[in-house]
Amino acid sequence: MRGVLSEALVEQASKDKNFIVLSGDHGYALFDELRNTSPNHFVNVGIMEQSMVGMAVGLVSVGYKPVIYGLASFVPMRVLEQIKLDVCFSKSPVKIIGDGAGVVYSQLGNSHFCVEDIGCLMTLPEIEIYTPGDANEMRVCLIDFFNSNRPGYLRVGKADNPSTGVVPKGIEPYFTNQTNNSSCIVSMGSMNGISAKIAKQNNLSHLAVLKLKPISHNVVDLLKQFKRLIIVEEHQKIGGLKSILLNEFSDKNTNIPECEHFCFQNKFVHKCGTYQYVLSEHNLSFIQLEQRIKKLC
Amino acid sequence: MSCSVLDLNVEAKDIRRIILEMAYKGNSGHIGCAFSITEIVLVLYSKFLRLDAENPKNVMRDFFVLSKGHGVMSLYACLSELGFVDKTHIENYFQDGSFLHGLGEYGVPGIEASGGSLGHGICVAQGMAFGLKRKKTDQKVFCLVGDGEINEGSFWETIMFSSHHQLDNLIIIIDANGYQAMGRTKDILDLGELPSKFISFGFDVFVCDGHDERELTLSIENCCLSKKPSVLIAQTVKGKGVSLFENNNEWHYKKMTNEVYEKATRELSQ
Repeated sequence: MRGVLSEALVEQASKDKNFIVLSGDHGYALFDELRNTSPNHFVNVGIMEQSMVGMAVGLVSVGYKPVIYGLASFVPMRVLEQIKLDVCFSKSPVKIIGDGAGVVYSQLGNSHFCVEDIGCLMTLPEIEIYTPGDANEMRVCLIDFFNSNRPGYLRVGKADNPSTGVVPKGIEPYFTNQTNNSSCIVSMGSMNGISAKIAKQNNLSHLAVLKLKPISHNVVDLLKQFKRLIIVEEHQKIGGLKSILLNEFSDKNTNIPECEHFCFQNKFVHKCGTYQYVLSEHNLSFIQLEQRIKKLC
Repeated sequence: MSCSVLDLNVEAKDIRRIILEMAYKGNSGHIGCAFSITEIVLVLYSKFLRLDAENPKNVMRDFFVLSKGHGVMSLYACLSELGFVDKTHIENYFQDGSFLHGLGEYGVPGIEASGGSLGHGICVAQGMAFGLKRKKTDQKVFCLVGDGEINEGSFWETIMFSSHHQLDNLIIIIDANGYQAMGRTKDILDLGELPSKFISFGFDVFVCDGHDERELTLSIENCCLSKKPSVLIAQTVKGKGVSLFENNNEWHYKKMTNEVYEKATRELSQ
């Protein structure tokens, strides 16, 4: 998935002299190819996320197309107000990449966890939000992300989680599995691959969502046939995929199906461990997910 | 169309009179902030900023970012005199459904960045200067910050970056009126000797009387000639121009009574 992102940055740099990537001293190997092929299109601004956001807006004012990159716990979380006022209010097409979203940096601890970003950004006008979960989804998201003339946030989570095994045709939500069962798993980002696997194991439908804001107009039409939705996300309970779906159902005056929500609870994780261990603290490890969803069937 | 310094035939007293009218009719605060930067804004628009009267977004223009958005009434007054902002907006200041906010916001013709949240505009200005330097144009970016505003960490992030990248097209002007919202800067967060701080970061530093237009002009010329990023510490008086307001921090917030308005009007008419 990160390889696809790296290739896309190189491609953008090769075709647009005004394309520029700013990093707040993060990204290490991700930018190797860009720095080798187009060194003038990459600037490590230093560890100064706040200033980097404003800088990107200033660059837009003088004709550049900036990408700003950081770990999601810092970009967008640390600089939320800069994104609101400088980027969103001026409708500047700054492209924001938040890497390591969720609990990718599990053993490093809570400073590097980011399970609130979507909830925070959903409240801001103008910005678009993308959550790819594998290389194919990343490819599709990047096309929309770079073609849009609006501010955008690309949430990059665990890069080596399983793929859905299905190539999405576009940015719209897509089924990885469709059955006659009345329950459907709906997931985003890092949980798409495991959700696809569990759906197949249990003869359930599974819908993977790639773009959360604005969410596809037809997502309610795709889901209203089901009696129960099993929503899986590496995000806080509030403000993520479930909140978005419930809002869509409510806005369209459509009966909301029964919902089971597998997500992060509103608590910190105080013990150290692997990615799967930290997920397990919220009953979200892949083994727990398989068991919990199987019980529902 | 090319850009040039526009004709701005007004004096500082005229600008202060416009501000006074806006603040009185709109029942607004922030008079002290607007009065302390009046000459700085006037000198920038009448002597330095190369703009296009027909197109405020001309890509060849110089940029002025009012990072301390609290002084925005001074900027509105100049922009209205230049024809960028319609005078009806000045007359309707703070009325329901009106165009101009009490803190500078992006979207008003001539306002390049939102400045209400302190420590933001300077970062945007830095991005403009960085981009223009990469494009090798001779355009300048002027950014006016408050001496209270420089408490913000993002300001010092910008200072480090500007120095490292030698942004000699970025001219930072500090409105050094000695006050911030709740009191004197030296009592709240004393930054000591500012010139030595900026010199240590690799800046050229100039100091002048921020109400003396001749001194301001010479100092800004020196900033423009500098081969380093530069900062001008403009020593100002908060509320300058009306004795009742001068160095009286109440006028950061207070709204004028009829009596105060009449006194101030008389003083500005002398």
